[in-house]
Amino acid sequence: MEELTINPIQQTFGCPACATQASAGETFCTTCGYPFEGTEQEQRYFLSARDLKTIDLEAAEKQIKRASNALFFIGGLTFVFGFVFYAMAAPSEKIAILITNVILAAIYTAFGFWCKSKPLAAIISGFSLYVLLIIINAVLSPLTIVSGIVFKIIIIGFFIRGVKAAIEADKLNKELNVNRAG
Amino acid sequence: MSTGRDDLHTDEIVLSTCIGCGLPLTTGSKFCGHCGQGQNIEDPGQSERKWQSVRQVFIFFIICSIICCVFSFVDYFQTLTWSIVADGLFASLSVTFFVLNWHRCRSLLLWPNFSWKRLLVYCSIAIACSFLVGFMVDWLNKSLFSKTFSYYYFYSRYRYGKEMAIFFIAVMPALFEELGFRGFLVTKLLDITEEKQAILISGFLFAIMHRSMLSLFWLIPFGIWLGYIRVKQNTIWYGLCIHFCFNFTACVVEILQSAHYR
Repeated sequence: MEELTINPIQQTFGCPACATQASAGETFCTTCGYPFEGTEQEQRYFLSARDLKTIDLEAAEKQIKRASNALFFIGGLTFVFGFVFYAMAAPSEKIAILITNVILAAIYTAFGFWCKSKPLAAIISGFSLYVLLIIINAVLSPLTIVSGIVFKIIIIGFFIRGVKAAIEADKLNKELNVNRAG
Repeated sequence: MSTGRDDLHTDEIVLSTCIGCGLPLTTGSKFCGHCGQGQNIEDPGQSERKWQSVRQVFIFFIICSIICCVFSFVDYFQTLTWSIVADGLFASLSVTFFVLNWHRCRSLLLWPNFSWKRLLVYCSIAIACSFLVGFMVDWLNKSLFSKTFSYYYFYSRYRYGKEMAIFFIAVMPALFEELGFRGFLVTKLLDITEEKQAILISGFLFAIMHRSMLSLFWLIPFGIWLGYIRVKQNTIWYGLCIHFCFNFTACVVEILQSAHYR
């Protein structure tokens, strides 16, 4: 176990867990909760519990990254298919189809980027838009529900796991005292 | 979320105290230096409650989407009777979800810190925005699609068309969209996430629910503004008045335009 070295002039020392400067009178680190005066076993338990939470946080961030990639992927597909549908559409509908798909692609891409700072809001918003479009297409042409069903299930799976992971990451960030950028 | 933390008020400095041992905390402490208690830790069941709230938000959103899409896009339902049925279903949905969360939502039916001045300012902005948005949407529709669009046209062929248009375009959406989106939805989103994100999500969901890609440019800011007022004032009444003024202005403009061209 790392020994605590107290600065005799300022009466401060670095926390072994998070390296924050702590004052000599403190029993626990005010930044991470490390028990300075705990037994060796308590200190080891604290560090291993913190490591486990860090691993959980990394796993949650991986799920968030997948949801973010799903948003980018749908954005890209919408953009490409926007031009395909534009080429295939009747002249009177061409401009409406192109504008709709370009705006949708831009929204999905923006949510993909927003995922880095506010994952929960970005995934919920992107997921809602995706579900709404599935419903609109299903009402206009019921057979579209089954077309690409596997792809839709996979994407929805990424979103659901992304939302759960964002909630979990939020909790772990608070417990580990980590502030997400933005 | 309340942390249950007490504050010690000295002459000028406010010192926070630990939620575990009650001793004063040093400024910016995330953990108590005396007992090690985390000061910003969620309850053990908080994540599960958040996930339940997410599910409720999605159930509301999906049912709302199905009602709106079916009655808007299926030709069979393009009659006055079915339009009334659709409005009735949406109203029932909003009321049901609001009542199901009555203990959390009921305070929104009160009107704390009522101010005529504030109400007048909000309504004036809403009316001005309605004129501006109406003009811009009309211009965009004519420029891009070479056509105009009127909500009033649907009701104009019926007896009492003007009265019905005002009721179904201005009164019903203002009342039940506010109850559903600013009442139920924002409250649930505030359970899940922080204020700023809750306002942004509700604004976006409100905007896409209108199913018009072109209108997103004004619906998103409008939804965010209504959400912000709901959170700031902790009531749905300001939003309801703003929403009514906005839709009423648009409706009256359409009725006047219709009379002019006739």
